[in-house]
Amino acid sequence: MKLFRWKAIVPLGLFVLVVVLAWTLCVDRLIRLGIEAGGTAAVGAKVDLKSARLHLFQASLVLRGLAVTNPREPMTNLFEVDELNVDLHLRALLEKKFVAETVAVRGLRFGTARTVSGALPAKKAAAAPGGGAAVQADVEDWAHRVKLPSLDLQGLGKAVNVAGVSPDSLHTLAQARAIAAKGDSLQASLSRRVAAADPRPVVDSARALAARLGSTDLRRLGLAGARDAANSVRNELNQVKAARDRLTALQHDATAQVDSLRQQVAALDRARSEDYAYARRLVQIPSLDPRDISAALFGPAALQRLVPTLLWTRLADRHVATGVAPQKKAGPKRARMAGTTFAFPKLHRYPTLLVEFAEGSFELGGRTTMAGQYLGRVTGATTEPAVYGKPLTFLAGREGAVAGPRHIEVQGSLDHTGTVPHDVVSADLAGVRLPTVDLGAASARMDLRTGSVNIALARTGDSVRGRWLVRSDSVGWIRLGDTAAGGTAAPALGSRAWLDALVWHAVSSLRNVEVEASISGLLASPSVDVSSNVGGQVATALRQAVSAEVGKAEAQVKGRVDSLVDQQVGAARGKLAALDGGPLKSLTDDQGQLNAAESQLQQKLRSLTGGIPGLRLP
Amino acid sequence: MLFLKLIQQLVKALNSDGTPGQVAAGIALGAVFGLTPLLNLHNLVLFGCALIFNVSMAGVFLGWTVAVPVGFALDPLFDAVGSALLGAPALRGLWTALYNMPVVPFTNFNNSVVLGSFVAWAVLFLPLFFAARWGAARYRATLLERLRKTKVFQAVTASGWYSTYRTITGWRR
Repeated sequence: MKLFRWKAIVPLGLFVLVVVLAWTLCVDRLIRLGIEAGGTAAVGAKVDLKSARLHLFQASLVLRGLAVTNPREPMTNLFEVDELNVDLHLRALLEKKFVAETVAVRGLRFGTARTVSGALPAKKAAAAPGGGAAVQADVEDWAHRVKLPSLDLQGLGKAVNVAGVSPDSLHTLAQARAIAAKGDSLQASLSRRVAAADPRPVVDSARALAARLGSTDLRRLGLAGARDAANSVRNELNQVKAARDRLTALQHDATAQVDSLRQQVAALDRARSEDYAYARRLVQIPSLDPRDISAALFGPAALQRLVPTLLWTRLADRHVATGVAPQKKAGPKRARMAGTTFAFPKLHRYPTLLVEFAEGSFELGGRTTMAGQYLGRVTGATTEPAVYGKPLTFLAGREGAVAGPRHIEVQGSLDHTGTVPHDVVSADLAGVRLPTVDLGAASARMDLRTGSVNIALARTGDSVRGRWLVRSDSVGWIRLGDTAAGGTAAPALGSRAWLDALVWHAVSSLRNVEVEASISGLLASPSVDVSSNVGGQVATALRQAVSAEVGKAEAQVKGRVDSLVDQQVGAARGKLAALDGGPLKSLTDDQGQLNAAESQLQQKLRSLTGGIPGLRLP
Repeated sequence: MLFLKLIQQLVKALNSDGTPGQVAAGIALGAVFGLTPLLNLHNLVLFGCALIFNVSMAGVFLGWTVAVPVGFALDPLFDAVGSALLGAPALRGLWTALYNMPVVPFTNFNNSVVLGSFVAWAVLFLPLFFAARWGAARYRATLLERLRKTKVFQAVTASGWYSTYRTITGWRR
């Protein structure tokens, strides 16, 4: 019997040919579907691609008609590209990795309109493996949770319902109670440990020895007696030192724990300030702080611009692996069970996806100040930065302007090569047409006209710090709503009409405006701070008009908060004082006694050894 | 239909001109196509082997047909075995080397179900071969003559499929 079926070579060859032919016919379609599916999963909204053409022998890929939907505005594309020419790395393809040496982008346009919605069905969006929809929901949830002060003065002149301030809602109270409980438990445990480490027996024994030797005539002891006496002193000294070491260790530990409590007590003042602010909001007393007023006026607009920044930062995080440890993801969808697909990246090899260099020029049309020719460049975009070993850098700048702007530059570096990601992004736009901002809190619209925008964002690990600064020196103001409402009668103090009129009077003559929004804290839920000279102007006007009313109401609220928290805060401080005066003081006293006993013994030892403590008697 | 097809494959395989060893090798080899997810490079290579080596093609298709439902049923087990192997720290060096080697990643060995099912097939290959060889030999010695007289057998041998099969098996002569 023959081992090989030689006559099957031809059918096998034909079979392989059929497989190759089928692959050649289908590969372009498979690439297109793969890019659409992968992009959709990553972005959380539809990614469309008209065609993909792989030229295997030229190691190039041409993608045409790429449109990426803006997940926040499904009828708008985030960007659209007419053509992408990609030079591929063939060796990497053999390793089932996509490495583009260069990518040339042609016909890039931003914010184009879509004919059909790019939103994913809710079920599909929730199930998208990239989690784009989940991240978007999370970021939007954060935006809703951000507490922006309101510019509502309708409570002015009315009785302040301080009884509405419930003790359960005050942080100071909860913190003070926790401190008191911790103080009690610390007091008990330290007292026990101090009692256990009581050095009095050692001190008494040392004193007794010193007293005995003090009344003894050294000349009558003789050499052997003096030697025995010196040895006794040394033994006693060792015991004293051992007791002191124990006490020192205990003292360090106790001091650290009491200091931690001390810091918590110090934080009570900050908590009380926060409770004042909370109670003021609760009973609707407006803050006259310029920052709060700025936040009330510009907070919504600032949040609107911060949300996409955070969304893209977090989406990028999801798709960029940190380190070179094996990674897991769900396997491909198929009739069989999907299972889990592992990736085993290795340093200095090809990452799974890498664009080494991409460059493209794009044009913003029209006659606006943003119109003109732009050039963008990206290097080192990869899903496995640690494997690639270099950060992603990008730069976009204006090459030629149709009108107006002198300088536009956006650049950044996203370094995820180490275990802690470090990203820096900055954008400088000068002389650009700025948008109008509706100040809902004041029924006014601010037309910023032409000005400058500076954006800086730095992220290290889970922390983020960013600033968005807008300046304009040619601001125009438009009053919204019915200015004639209320007729000739003066509006009531604190009413909406009264507030609108006051704000309008304060800001309508302003031409120079500066608005700065900043974020800081954890990337998942950063805090937002807004400041503006507009806020300062409104605060000044409000102070002149209502400071007496507000001051009176604030005093009532502060009094209510103080009455609720003073007792507990006093108790917490008392517990700290008890610790300072109790176990800590005992430890210090004990140390003093041990030091005195040691000093006595050292003196005796010197007299026994003729003043040379190191001298050993035979 | 699936059951009839299974019977047809069974009859074809057991009554082919191949030796029980060739039928058994075909069944053992064919089982890989049913046990492991089909569209992977290793299956293409093994199908080529089935064509080149003088094993019973009817046996291959029989092994494939029988193993498909078994594969589906045992997927959770394959997933567990594959995950354990791919997650084993001692084997990390091996997987990393294979993952970064040309062509090998197209086998999708780094998927838990693919690896688990492939390992299960590799472990079962020899027991399957010996069991199938014993079964084929016993069948031919005892049941074949009685079966030849049945209407089902006659219907199968008269079918177009059977003629094609005879043509393919005729290649090796």
